[in-house]
Amino acid sequence: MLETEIRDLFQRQVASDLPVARVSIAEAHRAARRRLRLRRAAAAVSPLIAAVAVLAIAASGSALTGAGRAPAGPGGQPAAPRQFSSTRSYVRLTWLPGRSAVTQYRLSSASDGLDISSSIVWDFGAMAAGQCQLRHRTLSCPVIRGLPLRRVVGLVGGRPMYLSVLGINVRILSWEYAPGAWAQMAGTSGASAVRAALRIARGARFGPAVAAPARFPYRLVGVPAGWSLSGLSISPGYHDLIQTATFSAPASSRLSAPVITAAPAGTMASCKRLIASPAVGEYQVRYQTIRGYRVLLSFGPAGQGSPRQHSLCVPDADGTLLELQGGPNSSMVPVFEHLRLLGANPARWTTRPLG
Amino acid sequence: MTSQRDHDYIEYVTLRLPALRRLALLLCQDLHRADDLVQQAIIRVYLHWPKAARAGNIDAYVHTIVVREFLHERRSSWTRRVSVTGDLPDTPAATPDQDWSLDLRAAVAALPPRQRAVLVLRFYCDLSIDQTAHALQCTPGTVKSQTAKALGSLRTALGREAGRARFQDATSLRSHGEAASNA
Repeated sequence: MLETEIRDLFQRQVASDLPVARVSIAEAHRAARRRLRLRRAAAAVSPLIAAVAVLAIAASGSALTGAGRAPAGPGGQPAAPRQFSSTRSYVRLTWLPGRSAVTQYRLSSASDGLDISSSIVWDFGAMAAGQCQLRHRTLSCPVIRGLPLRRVVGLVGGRPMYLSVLGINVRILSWEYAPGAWAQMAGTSGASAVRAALRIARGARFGPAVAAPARFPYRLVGVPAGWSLSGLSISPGYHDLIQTATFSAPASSRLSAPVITAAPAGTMASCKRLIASPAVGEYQVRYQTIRGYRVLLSFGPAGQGSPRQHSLCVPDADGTLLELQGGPNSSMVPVFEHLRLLGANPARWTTRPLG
Repeated sequence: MTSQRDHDYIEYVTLRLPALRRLALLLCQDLHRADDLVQQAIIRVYLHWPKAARAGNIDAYVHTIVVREFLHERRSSWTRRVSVTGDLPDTPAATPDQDWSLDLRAAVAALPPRQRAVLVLRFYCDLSIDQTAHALQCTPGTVKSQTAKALGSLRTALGREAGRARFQDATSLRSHGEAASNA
């Protein structure tokens, strides 16, 4: 029977020893603790401070909404670059269904991702040129490979939009927004939502100037050459602006490149909640005053073969909560010494977080 | 400061990592993607650890996380980066196997993710229809129909491969015959 052969196949596939795992439990543990901290920090900020932050963002034109008239639609779309900016979204959505909002922007050199939260939940992604390959009506992008493009559901900027269905009810819409550059939307809603998704796609504007650059409440100064911002995520939809910037440094750098999370100022309790889930093994926490700011330093975990992870949290650095997460065995105190704080007024923030 | 939660989590994941990798391998049919899936799933295990610890069967709970993460990752993860340590290991050459087994393996790998997940849960994890439905967040009827569709797809694919093999054998025999007669 076929069922028996399937069982035998599965048993044979897993019977042999697997190669050494590339999975890092320590890294997963760290990432999970980090997510918990962000969730707790988002819930901990006072409503008054959150309201001020929202108004300030609105007054400054928001971190990522474009100023001025949007350029022509995809019909006159310039060629997409092979690398996006990590501080400026390459896409802006000019139409969303009622009661919808973009809840997170994720920027990197390879792609921009937008999470749209509404009664229909869609992920929107724009890939830089060359990230996807179309061969024999099958599209392969970094995340989803081998997606068959069979059914055209409409035109976007004169180019076909393809609908692919995965599993029972997962719909993926793909279209080429510029020569060699693809965008995709994915959701699990019903067929009727495809019409709304088509309208979202037709309202998408692409280009290096469709969105204002992100603004940062700090600047890293005096860091060694070769540092760069490799990724940025911004969550404007939870009454706070939570911004997480991932920096990269050459291997020879004496300073460890941090991951910096910024949010409206909180209290030391906010920082305590960020480290409320310490890891196994030796884990240390202490308070210290650095540059006149009261900070919470944490070290851990050690043991289990994993190096120490350092973090530094300032609950109120001139109106901004900052958390610096470091690499193995690298204190974040020296990095904090290189941080120029720009206050709580977004008008005084910078679009260049390095230099 | 220490936490019992963290201690229990680290201990569990360390012990069960090989089993999770095997499950992920069957779902993804690719070792590199399987490790990425496990890396992502064990993050979620930590986030849901209090609930997992209270579950009657932690393994089943964690397997459900792995399967749902597999299906969710296939739906949408545009810029989700999974940090996985170490160099890519050399993949050993496939051991010699019968054509039939290779065809079946390829046919399983070609199934849609959800159908493949149903087969893995039912024929590797030996879950019941109801248990499979709970893991996949669907109805038992859907599990039955997905199973039937998967098996039907496999039978069709294997039947097609068997036919192609017979055709290739026939043409090979014919060419050998012609060569012999021309010699």
